[in-house]
Amino acid sequence: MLRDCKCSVSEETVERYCLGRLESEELERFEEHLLVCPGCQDRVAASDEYIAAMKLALRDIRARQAKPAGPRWNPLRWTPLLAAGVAAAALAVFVHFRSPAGDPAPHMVSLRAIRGFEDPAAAAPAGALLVLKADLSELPEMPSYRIAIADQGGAILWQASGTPEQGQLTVTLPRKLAPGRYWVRLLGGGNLLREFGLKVE
Amino acid sequence: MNEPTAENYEPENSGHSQRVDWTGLVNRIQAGDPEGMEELYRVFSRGVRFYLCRQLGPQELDDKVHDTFVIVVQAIQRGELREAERLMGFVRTVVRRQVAAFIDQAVQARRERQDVESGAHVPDRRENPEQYAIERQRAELMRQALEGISRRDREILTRFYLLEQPQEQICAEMRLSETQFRLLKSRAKARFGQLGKKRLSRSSLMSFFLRTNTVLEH
Repeated sequence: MLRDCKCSVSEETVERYCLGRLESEELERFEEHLLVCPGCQDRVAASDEYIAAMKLALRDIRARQAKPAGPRWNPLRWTPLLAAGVAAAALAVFVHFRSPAGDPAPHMVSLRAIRGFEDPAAAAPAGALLVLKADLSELPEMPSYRIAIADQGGAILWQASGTPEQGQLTVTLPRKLAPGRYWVRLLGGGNLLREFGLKVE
Repeated sequence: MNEPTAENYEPENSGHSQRVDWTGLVNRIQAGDPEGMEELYRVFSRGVRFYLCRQLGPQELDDKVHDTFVIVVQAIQRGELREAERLMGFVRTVVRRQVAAFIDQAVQARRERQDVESGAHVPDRRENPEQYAIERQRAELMRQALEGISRRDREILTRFYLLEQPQEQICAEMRLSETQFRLLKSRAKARFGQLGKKRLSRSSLMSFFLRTNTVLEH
């Protein structure tokens, strides 16, 4: 239950703060206020939860809609998605993806980071070719990143470099993974930036 | 909008409705008065804890809050706070520096124990299965709310929340007014809230009936 907040900070300000979009002076004022206002602390916590749920849900929906649209698809309207699709296809060529005749369509796996907690393991079906989409939010911007797949024991099975697109890094695994638990490591500048769990079942 | 400032802040649980006398508080801390330090803690501890937890996670939070207060008190006693009325800003500066310092320490510690080639597992954050389940439940609720709105509205929300495009860009490209944009966000939030209440009342009713049946059987 949110505490009754007697101040007049708008919902807009709270949301912009949670999204990291307050300008420096406004940020300074709001954070000073936040130190001493339990009501606004509750509002920020609630807004954080809402935004996290929104992002997760939108990613899920996007991942499910990742297949190319039919005849009614308007390329002008969907230009950003078209560009992302072309980039993903180019990346697949870059990592020498080969799909033997008769394979099922690749399975999209979204790898996300959730504020405050370890990224929950993403699930993927065994026997499918996997397209991994790693979330780069809140990471330092780099021209390219490296993705490495390690088995449960930590041995590296495969790795490749890729360029980010709209806050995500998309790579296609050139081979199928057997059932089990894997670690997907995101590296940049030689440093481990983020690690995601991946369950293949 | 009446933006809150140090001058008009009234602490919620101070036990009185008077404003905080920042000058008096700083003077008492500088004089080493334990009650002054207690009041400082009472005014700021929740906010400092909240800020540190939000930035760094819940690990070792008590220690970090304590370290932060020690730094603030010592800095005040050394005369580093030039204007007492700027105490909130001063505490904020110390807290932000603490966050940067803790992150530096964590990155350094990770580098020292990390060995990618030998396969050492370095998790990003600690796992919390309960919290994960709650997050997934919320996301599922949100997905239901989003699938009930138009594709165009979903695209707008995707651009704002997921692709992090600025409002002005979205409004220009999608031909929306600022009011329409805000209305859409409010509707999404309201829809999410309604679904949440429905699910909550369903699960409350279910729990009620289960308990009632158990009582009747005995």
